[in-house]
Amino acid sequence: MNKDQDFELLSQYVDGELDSQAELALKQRLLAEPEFNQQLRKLKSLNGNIQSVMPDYANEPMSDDLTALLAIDDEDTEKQRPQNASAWYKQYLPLAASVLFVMLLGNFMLNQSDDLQQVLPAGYNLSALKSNVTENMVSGGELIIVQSFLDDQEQICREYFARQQQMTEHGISCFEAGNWQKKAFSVEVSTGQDYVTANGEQDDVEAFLQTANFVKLSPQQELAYLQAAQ
Amino acid sequence: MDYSTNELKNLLVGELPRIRRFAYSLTGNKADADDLVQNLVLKMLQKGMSQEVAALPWLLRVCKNMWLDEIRSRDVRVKAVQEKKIPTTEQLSVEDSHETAYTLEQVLAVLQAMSEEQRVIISLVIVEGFSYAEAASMLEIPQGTVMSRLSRARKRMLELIESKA
Repeated sequence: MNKDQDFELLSQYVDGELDSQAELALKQRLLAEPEFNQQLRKLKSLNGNIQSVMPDYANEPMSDDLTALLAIDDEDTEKQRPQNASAWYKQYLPLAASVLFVMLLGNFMLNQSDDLQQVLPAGYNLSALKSNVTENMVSGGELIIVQSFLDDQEQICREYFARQQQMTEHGISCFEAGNWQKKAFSVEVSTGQDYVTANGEQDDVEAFLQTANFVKLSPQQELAYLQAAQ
Repeated sequence: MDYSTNELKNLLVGELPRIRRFAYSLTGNKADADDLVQNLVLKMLQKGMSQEVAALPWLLRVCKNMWLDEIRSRDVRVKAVQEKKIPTTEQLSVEDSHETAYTLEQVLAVLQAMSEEQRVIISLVIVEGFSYAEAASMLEIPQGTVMSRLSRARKRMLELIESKA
């Protein structure tokens, strides 16, 4: 992907226009690429600055001419056009349908476990890993898998970042004896909404990764091992 | 069915802060923005507005079209803003290592340096928070065009600011 495409991708991300799959892939890159992360910060900063230079019209009085134009006319005897049955039907049926749709959608959303599952690729049932990963966090966080690999026992392990509010956990969890076991983790308190790229200082997870004898898995291999682990 | 006059006035008063901000981001100055908004209000009260359209998008679309008509008729679009001096880095204030706060003059200058169509999209998406689909519908252009215009505008703005760094 060239720089223009990268920029367009970040622009869409800042505007909340990426779908969940694309957003997940982008966050993985943000965790790994400092330059990409820096570009995002510039874009967010530009957005904030553009918004901040706009006058606060909510608290600014209207001109006298505009006030006069918009003054409510008490003498206005204009009557609403009578509504026949057909007009009533046209007006309220879509409203009723919308209310029903919102109720059904709300019911569906309430039945979702939490936010974590939504950011995971389809077909990945990682509830066991999720509960293991997030034992130090309250529910409703976000889990980003950075990479998957096999350890020397040929068991699947995953490097992840789990975020909840201002806390980020970076860790490695391996599937052993039917359960996900946390091998290493490091918890940091972050002050912003940005994804913090490794700053050159090794945390426990990076140190663990350097000493372990891991074989990185392709996405297809990863999926096959995950399905087998369920 | 159209709004009654008083209903329309109430609606306009409620949406006025966003309409005025949109007009300001289009025109780049308060005097022109106030004139534009006043003409818009006058036009809407004279012509009326259907209750079957989404009010704010409709009002912003009319506002944008009126401004484009205005600058075409005036023929005084200030192209010189391209050469307008962008303040230098000495005026940059850095809040912390992650967030850069540009000066008011810098941001206004680069906004003015954008083409009319880019500024409309910046206003709709960045300032007013409309989605690409909503902006595309208002401007009657494909969603992909909104995306690419906005991306190019952002890139240009950053280049303009950084070129003076």
